Amino acid sequence: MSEGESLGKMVVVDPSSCTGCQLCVAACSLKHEAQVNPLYSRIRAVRFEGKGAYIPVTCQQCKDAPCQSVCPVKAIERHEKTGALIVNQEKCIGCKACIIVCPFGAISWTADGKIVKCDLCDGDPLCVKLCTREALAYVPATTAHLKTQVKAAEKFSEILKKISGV
Amino acid sequence: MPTALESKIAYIDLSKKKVNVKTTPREWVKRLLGGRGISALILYGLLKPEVDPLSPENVLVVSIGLTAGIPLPSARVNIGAKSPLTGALGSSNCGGHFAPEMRRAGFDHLVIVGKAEEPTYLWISDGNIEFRKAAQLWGLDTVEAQEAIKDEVGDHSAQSLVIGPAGENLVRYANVRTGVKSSAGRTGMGAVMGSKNLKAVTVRGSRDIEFAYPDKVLDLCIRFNENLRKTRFFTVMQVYGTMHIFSYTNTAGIVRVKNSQSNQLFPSDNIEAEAVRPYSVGHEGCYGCPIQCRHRYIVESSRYGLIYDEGPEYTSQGCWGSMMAINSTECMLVCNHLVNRLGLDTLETGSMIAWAIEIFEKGLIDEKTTDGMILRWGSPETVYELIEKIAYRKGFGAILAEGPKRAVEKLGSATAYYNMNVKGMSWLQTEDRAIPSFVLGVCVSTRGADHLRSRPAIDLFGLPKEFLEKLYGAPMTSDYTSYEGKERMVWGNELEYAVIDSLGLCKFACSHFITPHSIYTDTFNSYQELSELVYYVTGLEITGEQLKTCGERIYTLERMFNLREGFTRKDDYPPQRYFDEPLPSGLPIVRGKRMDRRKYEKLLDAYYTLHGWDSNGVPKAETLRKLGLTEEEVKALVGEVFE
Repeated sequence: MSEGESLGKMVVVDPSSCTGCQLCVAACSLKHEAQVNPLYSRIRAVRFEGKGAYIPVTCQQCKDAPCQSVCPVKAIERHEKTGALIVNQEKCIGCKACIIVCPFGAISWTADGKIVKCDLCDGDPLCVKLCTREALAYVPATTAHLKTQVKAAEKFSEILKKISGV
Repeated sequence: MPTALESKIAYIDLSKKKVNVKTTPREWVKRLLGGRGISALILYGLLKPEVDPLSPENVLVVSIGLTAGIPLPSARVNIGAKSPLTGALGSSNCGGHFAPEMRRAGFDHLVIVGKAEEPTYLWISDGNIEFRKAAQLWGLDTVEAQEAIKDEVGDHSAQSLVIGPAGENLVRYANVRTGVKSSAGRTGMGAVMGSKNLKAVTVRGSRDIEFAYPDKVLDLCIRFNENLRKTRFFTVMQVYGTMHIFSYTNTAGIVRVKNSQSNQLFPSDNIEAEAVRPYSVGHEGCYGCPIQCRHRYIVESSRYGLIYDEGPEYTSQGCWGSMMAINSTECMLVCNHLVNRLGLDTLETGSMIAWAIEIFEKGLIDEKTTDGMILRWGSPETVYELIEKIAYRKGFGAILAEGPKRAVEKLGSATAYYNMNVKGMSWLQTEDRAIPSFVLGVCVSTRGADHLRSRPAIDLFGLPKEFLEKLYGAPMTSDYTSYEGKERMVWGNELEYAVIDSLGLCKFACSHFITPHSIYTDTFNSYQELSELVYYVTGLEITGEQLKTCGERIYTLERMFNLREGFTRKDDYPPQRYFDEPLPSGLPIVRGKRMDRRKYEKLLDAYYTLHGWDSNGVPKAETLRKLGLTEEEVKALVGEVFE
């Protein structure tokens, strides 16, 4: 993947397609921490199984990122190729302020004492690769809204059909 | 240290409210792997023969597979006990999200004995086991109970195995459930929980699951995912789930209709897989699964109001559709919902109701027995009412709740011929008398009539002989109505499924359970590949050949359990109807077929020989020695943990 292509891409989640299978969660933890523990996964697929809702939550790589602003030692840096916010483990002092300010709960603390968050797998996110329902997509942020837009249009077309009787 | 190698067994005495925790012996893992295999050892070792399955003396084993937690379909949890339905081995497994959570909570195996004084549930979190009152949960349905427990423990990620009203009321085929849909359905494990006053087992953990070679486990996960997507099996399962099988089997004439009077239902458009799509609101995936074969569905205005549920599977499609001669999507979805919520095994419930309707039709029972109900085919109302009567043991329901053996005793020996069961467990919703391999597998299954111990669905595809020979290691015919070589097919699958179950893997992810397509995925289709998986997960070098021996050991141990309870060759036969009545309908290859007793006897002999059992189906002394299952060896193995 060329630099130009990956720049400005994001992992966009589609809760209506998520089945709550935890494949992304288990694989993410295994890849980055060499063990399976959802607590260390950079992505979470929250299950409300009694209600039948599954909601993937992950780092949005914010433009004005609260984690980056709050960090007292500027340990969270923007990756120049992927645009991901990366924790510089050498600089990080483990104050955990980023965990508190992240509006998505996308930053976590491992048992061996380290701040971890999504690094977009250097531009080839494993979670997206493994998701067989396309509940996760890695697309340019400028096109992230398209899928939802089409779904909304589909709903309108159904309503129109009902009204016009076609 | 790989988590699977330092796993813990908790011995939980509900009467004394005491817990004793031990480490799982390495020998157990090497010989029996986990889940179903280790469960069989514990039951054989701890249970004395002739124990009443609903007494405090029965032992309930909750055991997860050896590979639980990997990012693959690895989340099967096995529930074992002596079965209150059959008196033989009780053993049933289900998927969902329970198994990895139990491993993170610090345990791989729970051995539950005694009986709690009052309704109780077990709260197991990060190595602690707490006995909690469950009076407030008693009476709740299976999903309500789980939601209430989550609220109570204050953690919505907690996972529970629960029983519904059917388990509380000791219906002999009550199941154990987790999530909205996952059910350890067969052999009445829910009734055993109910008899122990145990409403639920809830687990939550934050521990790491570690592997010997994590990078290799991840590689395997990625490779499996990529390969699986290339198959048509994957696409079909993702959209339709197991319901896709029905259109083929109904067309061929291998589904049970009106109990077992016919083998095709037309029209059937409303119970085909496509009919469920308008009700579907997406799918649901078990832990780590890229297939996610279950529908989530909503019926907006049923007689029970708006219902939300998951499923149905091929089995429920048959039970609540073709078997009852009901061509109604809504009936199928509502019945699926009822048995799920009440905690009933869909198959046993369906089969008992179908039997009741047939014996009513034949005049062997009348309204005096059925509380005034007129039982007839094609009537959703009859079925709804009977399901509820069974779950709450009301009137006629109390008789049906007893399962085949006891219900036949109550309603008279003339009704026995129409009850389709083996070892006291009902035949599945399929009509198999044209397919000897299927019949043999169901009849010799170690837990009563059941296809999940061996079903060689691959037999139906008419694959080239050379291909089958390569797969099973000996020549056999491609004709599914033939008896030739089918003992090897069943035997081969039995060993393989015993290994898959004990590793905690889903059969849909492995091998040739449903379709030859999966063979081309190059993943988990041979003992060699499973051996690699075991090595990456645990670091134990168990060769493919040794794994196959594990399968033989597990299967033989289960057989030994049943022999000790008095089950022998005489219990390995299909119902008499299979020999007497030719199939009335179906494709030319199927129509007119019935089982040939002489050929079946020969098939059974050949099958026992492959296992190293004698002509009564008893393992020979040399077989026991080869498998390390002599009386002394089993005693020593079990004695390592339980004095």
